[in-house]
Amino acid sequence: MSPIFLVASVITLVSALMCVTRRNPVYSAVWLLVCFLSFALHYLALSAPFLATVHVVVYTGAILVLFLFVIMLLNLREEELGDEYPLSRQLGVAGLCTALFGTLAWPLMSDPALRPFATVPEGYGSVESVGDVLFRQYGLAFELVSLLIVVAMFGAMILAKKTLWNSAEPNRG
Amino acid sequence: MHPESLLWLIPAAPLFGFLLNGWLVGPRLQRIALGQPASAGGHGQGGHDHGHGGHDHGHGGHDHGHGAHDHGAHDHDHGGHGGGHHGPANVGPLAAIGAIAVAGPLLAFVLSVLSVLQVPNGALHQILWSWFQTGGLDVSFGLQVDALTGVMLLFVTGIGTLIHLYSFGYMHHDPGFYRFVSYLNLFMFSMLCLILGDSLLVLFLGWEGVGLCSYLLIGYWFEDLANVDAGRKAFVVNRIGDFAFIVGMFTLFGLAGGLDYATLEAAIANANPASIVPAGPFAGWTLGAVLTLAAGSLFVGATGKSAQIPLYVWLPDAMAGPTPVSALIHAATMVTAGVYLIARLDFLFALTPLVTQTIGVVAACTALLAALIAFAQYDIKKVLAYSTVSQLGFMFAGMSTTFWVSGLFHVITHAFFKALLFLGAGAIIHALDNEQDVRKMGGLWKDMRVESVLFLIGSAALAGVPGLAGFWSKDEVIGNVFVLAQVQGGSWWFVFGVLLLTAGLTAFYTTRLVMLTFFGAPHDPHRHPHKTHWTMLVPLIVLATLSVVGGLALGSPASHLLATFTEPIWTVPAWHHEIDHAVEHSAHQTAMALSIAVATLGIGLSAFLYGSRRALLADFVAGAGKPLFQAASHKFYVDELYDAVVVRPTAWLAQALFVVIDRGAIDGVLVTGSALGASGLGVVLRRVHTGVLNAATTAMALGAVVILAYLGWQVANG
Amino acid sequence: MTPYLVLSAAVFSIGAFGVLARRNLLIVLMSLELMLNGVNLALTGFSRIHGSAASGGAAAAPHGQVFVLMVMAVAAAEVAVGLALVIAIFRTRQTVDTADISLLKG
Repeated sequence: MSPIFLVASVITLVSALMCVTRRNPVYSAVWLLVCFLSFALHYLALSAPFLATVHVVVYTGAILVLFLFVIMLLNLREEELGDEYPLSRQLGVAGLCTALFGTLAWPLMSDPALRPFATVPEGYGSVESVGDVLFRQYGLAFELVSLLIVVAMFGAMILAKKTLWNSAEPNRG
Repeated sequence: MHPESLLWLIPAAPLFGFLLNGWLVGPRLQRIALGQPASAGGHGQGGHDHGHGGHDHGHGGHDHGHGAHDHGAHDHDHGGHGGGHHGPANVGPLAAIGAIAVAGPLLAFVLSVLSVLQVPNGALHQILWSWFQTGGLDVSFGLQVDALTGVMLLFVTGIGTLIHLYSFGYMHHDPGFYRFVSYLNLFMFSMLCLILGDSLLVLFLGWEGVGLCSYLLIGYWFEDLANVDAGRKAFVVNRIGDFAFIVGMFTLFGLAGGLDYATLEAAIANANPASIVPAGPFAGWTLGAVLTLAAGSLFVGATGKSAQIPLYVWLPDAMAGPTPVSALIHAATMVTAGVYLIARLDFLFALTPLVTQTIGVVAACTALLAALIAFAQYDIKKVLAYSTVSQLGFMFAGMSTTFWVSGLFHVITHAFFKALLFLGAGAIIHALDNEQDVRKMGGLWKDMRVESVLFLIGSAALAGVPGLAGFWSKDEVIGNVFVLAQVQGGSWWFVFGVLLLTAGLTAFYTTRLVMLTFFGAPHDPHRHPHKTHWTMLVPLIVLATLSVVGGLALGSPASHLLATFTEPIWTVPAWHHEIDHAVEHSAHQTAMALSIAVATLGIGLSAFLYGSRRALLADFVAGAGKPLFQAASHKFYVDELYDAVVVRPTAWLAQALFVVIDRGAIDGVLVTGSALGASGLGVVLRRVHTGVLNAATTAMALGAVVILAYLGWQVANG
Repeated sequence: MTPYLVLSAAVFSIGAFGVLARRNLLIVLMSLELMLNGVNLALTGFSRIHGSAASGGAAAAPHGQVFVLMVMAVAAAEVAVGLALVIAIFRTRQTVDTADISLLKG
C-alpha cells in the first residue's frame, strides 16, 4: 500500500462522507469536488494519466459546474430546503449500506485469486494507447455514445423549456 | 331380381315416404290444401288457420282448436281433432299426401309377401354396409328374413298399410296431416328395421326408433300440454326399459363376442348351463348365471316396450294420441316388439327356466291387473288400452311356456282384432264428434249398423268366442300353461289359474263395453252420427274378415299353418321332448273346455247385468263395491305410487344437486370465488405502489444486498 | 489490487447511502455520481491488472480505461437529463423534495 494510495483514499472517503451528509446542496457540491480530485489522484497512481485528465475536465469541469448552475438556478433559501428523514431512518439505511459494503467486500477480501499489479509498459494509459484502443476496437461504441450524448442534449433542452413548441402561448423560452 | 338383394327396399319404402311427406313435398301440399300460399315462410301445421274456402258453419259453438276441449271425461287425453265436418278447401293435395303415405307400406307389404314365399327355400340375408368397428365389436347393418321375421313382416306391413289408409279418412281434416302420416311412415321404417335386423343392434335401432315415433305421435296434438306429458311419459318409461336392454346386450356381448344372431346362436344354443365360462368378463361364472342375467335384463327391457308390470304405465296415457296411432303402435305392432325379442332369442330363453318362470308370473299378474282396471273405465279407448296390456300379458305367458308358437300366434290374432277394435272405436269417435265417453253413447246398434257389426266381431274375437281368431290363440296359450302346470307344477298353477280367471274377466268387460256403447238407450236421442268414410270402412272389413278366419287358418285343428311354417327356426328346451303326448293332448282339451266355460260365463253375466239390470249395478258400484270400483278406476294408484317413490325423490335429488353443486360449489366457490380471490389479492398488493421514489429504491437496494449475500455465500463455500 | 476494490466498494456504498437516505433531489443525484465514480475506480484497477503484456495479449492495451471513458460519457448525459428533470419538477411543483413527488401512487 503506497502512501499515495493511503492519502488519496483518506481524502476520498472523508469527502464522500461529507458530501452525502451536508444539508446545504452547495456544500455537498464542494465536497464532491474534493472527492473528484482525489479520484484523479487515484487514476494517476493507476497509470491512467489520460483518464485522470479527462476525469477532471468532465466531472469537475462540466458535471459539477452543471450541478452548481442548477443549484443556483433553483435559488433555495435556507428555510425552503425542507426536512430530511428522521435519524432512525437514516441509521437504518446506513446499516443497509454497510451490509451492502460487506457483501461486496467480503468475497473480494477472501478471494485469493486476485492478482497483484504487474509491470506495465511505457506509455500505458497515455493518450495514444487509449486512443488506439478506443478508435480501433471500440469505434462503434464511440459513435453510439456520441449519438447518446446528442439525444441527451435534446432531452435536456426540451425538458427544461418553460413552454413547449405547440402550446398556444407565445414562446418566452 | 332376387328378393334377397331387394331386402333393403322393405324398410326404405316407408322411409322414402317419410322424407317425401315430411320434408320434400308434404309441407307444400299441405299449404295448398289449406289455401295458403304454397311457399309461405312458416309451417301451416298446428296453426289455427283452417281452410278458408268461405265456409260458414252453422253449427253453434264448435271449437275446432286443438287444445281447449274438455268433455268432462277423466283425463284430457283427447285433444280431439278426429273429426271435422267441414271439408278443407282442397282435397286433391291431401289425397296426394295420403297416396304417398300408403304407397310405402304397400310396397313393403308386396315385397314381404315375395320374401315370405322364398323363405321355405332358405332364409334371406342381406348385409348393407359396415356400420362400425370398435374394440373387438364389428357390426354391420344387415337385414334377414326367416320364418319368424316373415310372419311378423306380413302382419306388420299388412295392418300398417290398412291403418295408413284409414288415417286418411280419420285425419285428413287436420291441418298437420302431412306431419302425421310422415311420422307414421317413419314408424313403419323403424318397426321394419326392428324385425328385419340381423343383429341385436339393428333391432335396438328400430327399438329406439319406434319409441321416438311413439313419442312424436302421442304428442301429435302438442298444443295441449297433457298430450305432450303423455308422450314424454311414454318415452321416459321406455328409456328405463332400454337401460335394462342395454345391460342385457352388454352381457351377451361379453359372453359371445358379437351381437348378431348367428354369433349369439352359435355361442349359446343348446349349451350346457352348468359349464363354467372360461374367459372374458364373466370368467368363472356358470353359463347359466350369465344367461339368466342377460335374459332377465332383456325381459325388463321388454316390459318397457310391451307394457308389462312394472313399466306398463305409459300405455293408457298414450291414448292421448290420435286413434290410428293407438291402433298401429299400441295394439298391433310396437308393443309386440318385446314378444318378438323373446321369440328371436328363443335359444337364450330356452336355457333359463328361472327367467321364463318369472316371465310367466309377471305376465299373469299384469293380465289380471289390467283386466281389473278395465272394468272401471268409461273411456272407450282406455278400456281398449288396458285390454291391450292384459292381452300382452297373455302373449308373454305364452312365450314363457317355451312353446313359442303360442305366443306368436296370439300376437298375430291380437293384432287383427285389437286393430279392428281401435279403428272401430275411431270410427265411432269420429262419427260422434270426438266423444269418447261410453256413458254418452248407447244405442249405436240402431244408428251405425255396419260399424257396430264390425266392432262386435272384434269384441267377440277378444272375448274368446269359439271359432274366432282370439279363441284359438288364447286357448292355445292357456292350454300350454296347463301342460306346464302338470309337468312342472309350482308357480305354473298360479299362472294357469290367473290366466283362466282373466279370460273370464276379459269376456266380461268386453261385453260391458259393447253393451254400454251399442245397446241400451242413446244418451242423446237427437244425435246425428256422421257417415264413415270408405277409407275407414275398408280396413275395418278386412280386419274383421281376418279376425274370423285368421285363427282358423293359422292355428286350429283345421290348419296348423303357423306352426308348420315356423317350425324349423325354433329352439326348444330339452325337456319338451320328454312330454307325454297323451298328457299334452288331454290337457289342451280340458283347457279348451274351461276357456269356453269362462268365456260363456263372462259374456252371459255381463250381457245380463248390463242389459236389464243396470240399476242393480249402479247400486252395487255406489254401495258395497265402491272401494274396489274407485281403486280400479284410479288404476289402483300405481301412478301415484311411482310418483311418490321414484319421481319425487329424483326431482328432489336433482334440485339438491343443482343448489349444492352447481350453484354452490361451481358457481359460488369456483367461479365467483376465484374472481373474488384474484381481485382481493389485487387490493392487497396494490398498496405496494406508494408512488414514493424512495421506497422503490430502498427495496431495490435491499434486494441487491440479499442477492449479493447469497452469491457471496456461494463463492465462500466454493 | 484488493485495496482498490475495497475502496471502490466503500465509495459505492456511501453513494448508495446518499441516494437512499436523503430527501433533497439534488443531493440524490450527486450521490448517484459518487456511485458511478466508485465503479470507474474499480474498472481502472482491473485495467491495471490485465493490461500488461504478461497477461497474454500481443501488446498491453488499456481496455478498462476505454470502458471508463464510456461510463463517463454516459454519466454526463445522465446528469444533463436528470438536472433538466429537476428544473422541470421545480417549475411545476415548487419543490425538490423526493417525498413530495409521488404522482405514481396507485
